[in-house]
Amino acid sequence: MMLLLYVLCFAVSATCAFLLLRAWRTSHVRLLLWSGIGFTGIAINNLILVIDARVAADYSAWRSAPTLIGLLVFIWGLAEERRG
Amino acid sequence: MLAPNGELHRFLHSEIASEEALDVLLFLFRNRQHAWSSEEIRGRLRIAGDATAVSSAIATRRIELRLVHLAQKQLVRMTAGASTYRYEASDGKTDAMIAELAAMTDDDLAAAARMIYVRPRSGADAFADAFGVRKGRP
Repeated sequence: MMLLLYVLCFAVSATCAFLLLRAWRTSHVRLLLWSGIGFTGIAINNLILVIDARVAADYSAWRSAPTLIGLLVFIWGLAEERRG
Repeated sequence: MLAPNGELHRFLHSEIASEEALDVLLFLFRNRQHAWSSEEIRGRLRIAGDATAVSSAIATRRIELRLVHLAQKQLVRMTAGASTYRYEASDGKTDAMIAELAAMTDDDLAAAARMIYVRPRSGADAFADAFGVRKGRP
């Protein structure tokens, strides 16, 4: 049951990342790039969570790094957008 | 129609109040070697050209207000000691944008006029549209 939940989390975040990056490719609105990278980080986190649950290993330390990087890029992008 | 330029659109929407203000700015840009009074600009742009003296005076006053507004935006400068104005953009980036705008109005004046009144797409609009499922949208 938990594995299914993790897979769904991965699918949703990966879909968001895909939609945002696809929209960025056509519109070139930078906010979409930053948020797409942010969601990619979250998707990678969720993927590692799935692997974690599947192989019963503990990758919790590794898991946080992509989310941290993705969200930092996203926050930096938001600040850049505000600065113009 | 020309491809929309986000930065130019934002500039037109935030800095230029009307088509008349755009005409005045581009007139000064194209004739930047001289300083012009509002009366001269009205004559050259043929604003209220065949109207009565009263309506011509009103049009001149309106152009004067447009010039003051453009000067506040640091797009034109009032010459010292005289009520004439000369094109003078505050920086090279703005100057390049106005040159682009002048070229654009030669090709498609309606597109430039539309940009003055239509709000440019914000990042939030683009973000919402990214998740849209409507046809023709990303």
